[in-house]
Amino acid sequence: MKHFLLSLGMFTLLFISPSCDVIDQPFKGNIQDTTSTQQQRNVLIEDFTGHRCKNCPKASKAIEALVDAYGSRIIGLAIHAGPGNFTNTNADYPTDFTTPEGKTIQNFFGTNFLPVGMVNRENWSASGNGHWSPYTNWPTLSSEALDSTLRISLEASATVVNDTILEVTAEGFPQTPLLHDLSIVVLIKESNIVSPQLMDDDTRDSNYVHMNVLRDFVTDTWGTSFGISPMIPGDELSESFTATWNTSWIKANTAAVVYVFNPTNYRILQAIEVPIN
Amino acid sequence: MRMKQITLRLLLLLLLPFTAAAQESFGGQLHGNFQLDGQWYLRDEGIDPTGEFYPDERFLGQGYANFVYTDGDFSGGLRYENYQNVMLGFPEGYRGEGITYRYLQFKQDNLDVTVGSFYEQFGSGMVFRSYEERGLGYDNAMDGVRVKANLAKGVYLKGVLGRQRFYFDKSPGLLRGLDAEINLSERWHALDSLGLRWTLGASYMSKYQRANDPFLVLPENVAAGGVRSQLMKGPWVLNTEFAYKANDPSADNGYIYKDGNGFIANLSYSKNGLGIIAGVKRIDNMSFRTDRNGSTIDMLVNYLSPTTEVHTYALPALYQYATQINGEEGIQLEANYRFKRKSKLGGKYGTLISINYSAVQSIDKDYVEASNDTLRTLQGYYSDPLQRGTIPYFHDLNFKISKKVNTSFKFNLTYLNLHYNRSVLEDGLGDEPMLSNPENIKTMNADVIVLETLYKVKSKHYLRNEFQLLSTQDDRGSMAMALIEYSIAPHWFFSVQDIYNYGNPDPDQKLHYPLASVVYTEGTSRFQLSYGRQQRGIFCVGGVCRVVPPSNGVSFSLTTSF
Repeated sequence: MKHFLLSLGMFTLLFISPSCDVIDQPFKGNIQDTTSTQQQRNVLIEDFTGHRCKNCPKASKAIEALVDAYGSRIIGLAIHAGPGNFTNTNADYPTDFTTPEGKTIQNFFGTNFLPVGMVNRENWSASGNGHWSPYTNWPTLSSEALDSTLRISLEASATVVNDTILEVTAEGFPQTPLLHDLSIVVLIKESNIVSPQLMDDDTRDSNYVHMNVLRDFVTDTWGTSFGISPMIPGDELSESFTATWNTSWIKANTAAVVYVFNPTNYRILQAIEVPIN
Repeated sequence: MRMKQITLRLLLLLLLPFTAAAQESFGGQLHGNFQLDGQWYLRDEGIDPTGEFYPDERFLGQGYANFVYTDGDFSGGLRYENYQNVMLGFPEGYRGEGITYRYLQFKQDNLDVTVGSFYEQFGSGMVFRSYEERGLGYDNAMDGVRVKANLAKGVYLKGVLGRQRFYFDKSPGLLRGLDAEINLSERWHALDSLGLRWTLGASYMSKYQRANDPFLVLPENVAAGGVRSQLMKGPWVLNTEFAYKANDPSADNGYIYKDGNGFIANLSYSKNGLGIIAGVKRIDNMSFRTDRNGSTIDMLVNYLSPTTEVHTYALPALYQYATQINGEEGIQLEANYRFKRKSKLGGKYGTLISINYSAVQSIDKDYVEASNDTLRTLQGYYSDPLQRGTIPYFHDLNFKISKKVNTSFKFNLTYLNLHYNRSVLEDGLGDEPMLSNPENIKTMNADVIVLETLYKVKSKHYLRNEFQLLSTQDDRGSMAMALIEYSIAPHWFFSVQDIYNYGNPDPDQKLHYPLASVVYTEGTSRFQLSYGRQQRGIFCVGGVCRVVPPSNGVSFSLTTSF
């Protein structure tokens, strides 16, 4: 009996100890590291959103806060895709922000609620949900991704020729040995679009400013081949792309987003955003 | 007759591996059950004009099978689940197939040890409840170790350690908990001799989740604890429980560091045909999940039981109450009385009447000014437990009469008066925007009448009818429903029903929702085939709810056990 009680006492301690952290000061200090001039691993946050989704502006704000903290290392992309009652147009919400490519991505990665997102498409699996995260978790996931090793650096430029053709060139420079193929995606996003948005207090903000809206893909939705395994530091990869420029887009508000990913698990190794000249 | 033979052969073919009685092997016994559901979806522009709910796959199916082997003090089991793909209305997180539950358990020397998957509950669940509600798609099974010990007469201890299920993954957080209960009447017979049965309990749960937020200092260890009492004497039973949770900033509470608490008390009396229940509950910031970023019904550690009646009739069930984990206070009073047989009001077979009233509202909240950033984040709001909240969430006043008229006929007559805050219960709006803009609060007020009759046509033949009327000027407007069920015991069951939304303010949505079903039962196996429309609604079990989208199609369900 004595041994029995002793075992139970130890057992109790095992379950009880470590218990609770009480926080008196919730905020951390300045976190942006501005000392490095080398390219570091960036973060692409694909924010699945809709203009009739009242909680979606919170997700957009979360990206803004991260951009304020980390600058251009955070690349937001608002993909208007999901249930029609969040994304469809009507008299109050007349702008159609949806794209076929956005719908394809949403269907493939498998979600049907908003807002939700992917941070560099980490942790994808066919039957799992680890690649999806709520906007409240983006700071943590971004912080971890920003601290991870850069495996390939990217450079790109984008120019509109004669107001009709967009030309994009992209170069990649492996920073570590890469033992899998690489695919590259180029897309166009536009910010500062004023159009109505449903807000979290159930009101309609007719002057809401939409940021980082996915407009079109220059490549196919799943990109094109960029590199064949194996690749080592010192290799140079390059591709050029052209697409028809939509004159309704305001060039000063647009940017080209270029990212490379592992086509076997969709993990984004590096993403950059360049202005369109 | 030929149809019956074909049906039987089809069932036997499908159920061959399961139709045998409990299997004996290695000296123990193997039991199990199996369920398969599927629906062929048809495009219906009436209920889904834009096709937003129409699935690409057209056919969706899901199922599961449980196997449990027991041999003396040892038992083990597993459950296989498949979602190919998950049916409309169930959480999208169920993607794929696999063994989601497996365990080994043995009992020895007053110890009960389980390794692997298990369900467990401390008290009413305010601190910890791990359970499954298959109809909701809810399953937060633990995967780890559970030890139960009977320390001494009337003294019970439970310890759990593990992670919760998150669809086909595990929660990012880890749980460690302990529950102790002492039955004072078992230990001190003096209490027993006074007719008192008194049980005291205490529980503690600690959650660990890694934190790496660049902006906030988040607590990685969050603790919650509770104390409870159950006192019984004669026809009286009094249950009380208080729970406390330390700072736990989360997506649910808007990342505030305020602590949480909850209190629940129920008093009941039952004697000589009279039953009375009175309940009161107050919860404040008691969302507790193993992922601070979790939402909807994902990875909940605790269970906050509802203080409202759960209705099973179709029309009132469209407006069920869901517990508001960020804060609510409510009361419930219920009384029922059975008039004796051969009394003036009881008639030949007796009459049961009951009245139930429940009301839930917001708790008092005095929000910290947004300009005071640190205090706003640390505290969020102040709440006085003695002050009533001002936002009504829900109320339900209902009366029922159940009477058996003669040997062949009985009926239930129910009247309900409902108030339903759609901004809270459908749109998930928080208290602060509602307090700022009370004119934007959407509500639904309705009167509902339900008449249910059961008529025995002849031996083994029964006819059951339901007539329901929901009268309202709000939301989708008034509806009427009629249902006819005919059953031939023990094998056949036929059902036809229609809901007509005649009061919908949109003329295009004044729709009928017909549904026809046939069920065949053979022993422990049951096969159901249905065809019809399902309107959008909210399906709730125990205060936990999920949204059901509209659909049209042919569905089937096969269940069996062995």
